Amino acid sequence: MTNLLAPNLKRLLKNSAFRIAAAVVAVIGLFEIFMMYRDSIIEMDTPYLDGGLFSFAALGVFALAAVVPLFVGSEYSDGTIRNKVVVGHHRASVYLSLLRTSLFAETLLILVWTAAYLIPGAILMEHANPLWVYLVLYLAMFLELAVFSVIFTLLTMTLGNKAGSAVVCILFALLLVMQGIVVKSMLEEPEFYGPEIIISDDGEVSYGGEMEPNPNYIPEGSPKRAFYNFLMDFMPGGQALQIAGHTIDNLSKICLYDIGWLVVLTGAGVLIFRQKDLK
Amino acid sequence: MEYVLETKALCKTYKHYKALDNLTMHVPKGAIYGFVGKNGAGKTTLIRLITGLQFPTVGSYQIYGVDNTSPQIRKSRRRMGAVVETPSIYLDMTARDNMQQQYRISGQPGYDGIPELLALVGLGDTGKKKVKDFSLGMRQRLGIAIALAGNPDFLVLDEPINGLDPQGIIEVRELILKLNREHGITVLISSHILDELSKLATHYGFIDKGHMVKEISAKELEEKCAKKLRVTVSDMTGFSKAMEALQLHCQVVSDCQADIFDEITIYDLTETAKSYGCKVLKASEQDESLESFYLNLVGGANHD
Repeated sequence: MTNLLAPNLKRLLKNSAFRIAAAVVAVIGLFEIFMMYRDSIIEMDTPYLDGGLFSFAALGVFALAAVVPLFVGSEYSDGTIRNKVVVGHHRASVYLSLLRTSLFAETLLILVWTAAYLIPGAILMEHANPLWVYLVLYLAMFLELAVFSVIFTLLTMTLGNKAGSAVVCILFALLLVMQGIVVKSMLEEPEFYGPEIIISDDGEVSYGGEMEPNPNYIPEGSPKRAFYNFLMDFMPGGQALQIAGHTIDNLSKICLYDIGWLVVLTGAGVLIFRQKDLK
Repeated sequence: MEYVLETKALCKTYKHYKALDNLTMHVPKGAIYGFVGKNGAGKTTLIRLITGLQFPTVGSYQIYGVDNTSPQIRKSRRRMGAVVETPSIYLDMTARDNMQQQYRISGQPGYDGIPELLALVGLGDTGKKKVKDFSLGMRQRLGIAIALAGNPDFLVLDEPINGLDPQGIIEVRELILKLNREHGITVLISSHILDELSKLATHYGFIDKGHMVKEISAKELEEKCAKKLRVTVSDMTGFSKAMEALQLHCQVVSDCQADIFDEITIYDLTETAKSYGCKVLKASEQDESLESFYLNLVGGANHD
């Protein structure tokens, strides 16, 4: 597989879509850290860099949704995937080399984000947690984004169309993240609606009425809440929001789910590609 | 005879469409095999199967004696190079970068030979020009160079002269002849440009509706398509005696027409026929081209 991986990596570093994505990620990282620093100055708070460090867990989904299908899909649009099969490479080797290249792209983008965020962040801001916490969260973020890389590689290698795959991957990314947002908002519904707030003409605030029970509230300990909690931990979209928002309840469970996703999706992708008629 | 490629009753069906129908063919080692058929006959489908891009529905093929279902087939494929339909090249890279990619993919230890290979196909001076800025002919030639990157001894070219200008066609023809004669590379070329193929091929396979209609060597084809003089005469009996006397190779077509396959002057012919009481009413020279042979073949006429 080395014969396939090395040329893929060389091509990735020259790929314009990847370079543009890396530049955008770097700019957003710098923007985020400076905005957080500015807000902490305005609010006269101690500036902590933890707040946005892992927001790449959500942002990275869309960066990969653009990079992976454009890079992997060019193998189909340029027809170069044929060169690998014709000279006798096993289909599984071809698939896995492209998958590993996607994971390498993910790693590089994480590094770009980290550099853009941490280099000024380390100078301007404090950190709230010990180093091992950051390392564990980085592992979780890497695994969560790896699942997205594998999904996008699977979609692109199955569809076999560069432009179509890019559209499908972006829509898929939106769908999974939206799923996470919807489930999160349902879990965060309060038990009661607060009393009505009344503001008089001269600015006086008073409260009227009583606390009303929220019909959308999902009771603690109920099977429905357990199911939605499972969805938040199991689905990559929910994981992205938890990691980005520092609201992870069970990190080890999330990592195990991700390893399961990686194994199943990789196996499915190899099986599908092995049977696929290439044109 | 040793065959580089043999197919046995190969079938390929896409949903309800049968692209290949019991195709059996034999490509001898050292040959330039011209694979002839009209658009949609199944040429590209066959090439996709033998290069491993697609899988047969029924039937099998062997490359260098190795069956397609054997795990060893991948070793046989390392001895192949192919250009399937369109050249497989990275458009945002230079010719040299594309060659380096293919060298790594085919397991070459270094990049030695790339400048020579690019010069061989006429792309030695493209420099930093990206392939997306190449003409169609240049891309075709780069596709051939990439197919040669792994030092193959079996080259499969699917319509390699499509889109080339006359100069480009000549250059590709010369290249193929050179690779075959000087390097002993067996070449399978699919084409529907018969005139060009007739200048190259040592063997032919004629395909129609997914089925091999005929396989024939160039020598046998030449004999079947030999030049002849078609004459219309007044008395076939007298004419036959005249031909016997002249010891000419002749074939009677009808009761007043015959074909003469040997060289003879019109004067000698008419004088000899006259001496046997026969008048030569009409004489015209005919040769059957590859095109007419092919048209007769796929039209169903028996050429044996």
